[in-house]
Amino acid sequence: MDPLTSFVLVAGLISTAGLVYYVRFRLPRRLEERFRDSLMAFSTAVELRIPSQRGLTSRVVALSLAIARKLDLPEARRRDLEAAAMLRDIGLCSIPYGMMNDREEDAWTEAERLTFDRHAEISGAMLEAVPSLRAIAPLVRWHHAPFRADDFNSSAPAGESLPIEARILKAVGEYVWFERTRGDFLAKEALRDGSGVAYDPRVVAVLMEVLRSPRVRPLRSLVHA
Amino acid sequence: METRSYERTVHGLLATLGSLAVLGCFWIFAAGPLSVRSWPLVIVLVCLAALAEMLPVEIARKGVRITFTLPYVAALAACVNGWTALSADLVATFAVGMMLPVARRQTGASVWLGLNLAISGLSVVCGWLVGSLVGGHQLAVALGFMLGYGLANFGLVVLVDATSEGKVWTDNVLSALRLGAKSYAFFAAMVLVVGALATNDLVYVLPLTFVPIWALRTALDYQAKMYDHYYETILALSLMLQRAHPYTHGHLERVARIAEQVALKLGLAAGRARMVREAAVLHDIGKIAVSESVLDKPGRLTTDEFEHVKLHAQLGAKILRPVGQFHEMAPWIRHHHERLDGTGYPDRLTDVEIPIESKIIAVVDAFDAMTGGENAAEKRTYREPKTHAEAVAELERCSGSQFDPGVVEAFKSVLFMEGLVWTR
Repeated sequence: MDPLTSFVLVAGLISTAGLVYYVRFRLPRRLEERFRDSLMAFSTAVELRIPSQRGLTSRVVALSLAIARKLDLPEARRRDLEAAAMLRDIGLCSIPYGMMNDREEDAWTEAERLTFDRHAEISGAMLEAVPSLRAIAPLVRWHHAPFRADDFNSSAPAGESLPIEARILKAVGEYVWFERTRGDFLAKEALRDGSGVAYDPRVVAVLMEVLRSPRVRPLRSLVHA
Repeated sequence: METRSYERTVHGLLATLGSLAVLGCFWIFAAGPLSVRSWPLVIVLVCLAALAEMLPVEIARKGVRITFTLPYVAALAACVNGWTALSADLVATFAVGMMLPVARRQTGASVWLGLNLAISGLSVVCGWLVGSLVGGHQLAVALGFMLGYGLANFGLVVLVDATSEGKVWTDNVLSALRLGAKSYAFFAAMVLVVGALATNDLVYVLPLTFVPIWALRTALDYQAKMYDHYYETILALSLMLQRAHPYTHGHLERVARIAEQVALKLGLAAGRARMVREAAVLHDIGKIAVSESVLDKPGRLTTDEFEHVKLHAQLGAKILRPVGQFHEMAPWIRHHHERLDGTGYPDRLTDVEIPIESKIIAVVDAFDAMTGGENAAEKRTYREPKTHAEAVAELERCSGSQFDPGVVEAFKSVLFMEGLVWTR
């Protein structure tokens, strides 16, 4: 074999190794980054429409992922959970601007309350329309479904039939909202009161454990603002 | 009538290219020796060429289909002879050309199969010619073959696209330069490796050359996924806007379609015009953060309300900012309400500072806002819709102060072509 041929074969071998590394490790990461960037754009849009939501999504994502890790959810499901946490409220775009921004929740009429309650279903329907997000649509659709079945949510699955990701989002999403509006103490009280009824007791227990961790900082509350 | 003329054009191309290919094939058969040094080498290379032809990568959004046959055909040309290379390429093209339409349940593909065979034949002839001119070491011959084959193949595809589809040849060149530079470097490396193995009769190692091909296929698949993801992000964002402001549904589609045509009319490259279309779909995304009670208010807006509405241009850019693929179009969206005289918003830019893409969106958006859609739900509540002629007159009145005169003229031509106004 002449030196030129040897050189070509060695160079080909090295280039192939480089290409395989690029394809196996770099490209999946790049696709993942683009996916996350898009999720960020969606949640920015929701937060710009409803400024009171600002900062909530990042906290819901962080706490949900901490619970998922403690519950040993596989990485693929943790990724779906993260996406569902970021997109859970995109259906809020269909709620009238004035109702969400100019009036207190207590002042809503019954019809307005029902409109608001449909946002999870609308979020799910919107995700159904996007092929790459279709898989997380059920997690988003049921993220306000109570753990124990009730008359108002007769069509929703309940108990263990609810996806664990939806149960995590239910507990974390409502805890973070109460933490923002009522403060940490009352938010934990609400969680404990709703355990087994609104929330999955296992998720509540893990969330309490996560919240005791010194690495979890409290959210800036609106109560003392 | 148009279909017949199209068929005549394609058949004419087939007859011309087919005749040239047949002549070239005779030349190759006459010029090269008919004996074969190593049949196992030929059989393995032909099989790999056919397999590579059967595993193309398609980036549907870009209309690109890439096959990896060339390294094996070039190795045959350099290490065996011209007619085995020609036979391998024609057999692979014919076999896959027969199989794919059946698998996809397509009909009327025989003319295109003929055209592909003619292009393959002529490409091999050109490759063989350049390879023979280069001469010397077999690897140099293989590279020369690849160069001649690649250039002929690309030139013929451009010719067929331009003649049959009316596609502008510069679009093909630009997209090939963007996508092709890395691919051609890869092909050159592959030609050298396959040629080196074939020259040394390392027949049993040759199938391993499918490893880099698999890697490149996977890389191109990822690229296709990234395109899909990009378009799905646009879809999801526009769905959010439509949920917030239902009247935007038809408006966005119309503005996007016409804006692309205006961009093409103004001489922007096809890829750029497609980006204008995508930006036009998202140009009002910032209205997600604007109250519908203000946007849909009948009558004049108060100063505060108008300031609230004006925010939508910069908020749109802010929403798109996290996504790297939107970096280029975010400024177009931010500036689609600027005016040539510097009294627009949000940055009060003047003529030369405003991107042409923003100027295009501004004109088409204004026209559609004035005329509204055919659906009653899409009409603006704050004023009666104008007729197309009245809206064009308004654009002409504001041409030079609010709108770019060149863009207004191009827009009028597009409207005339679409049959939406009867006089230019």
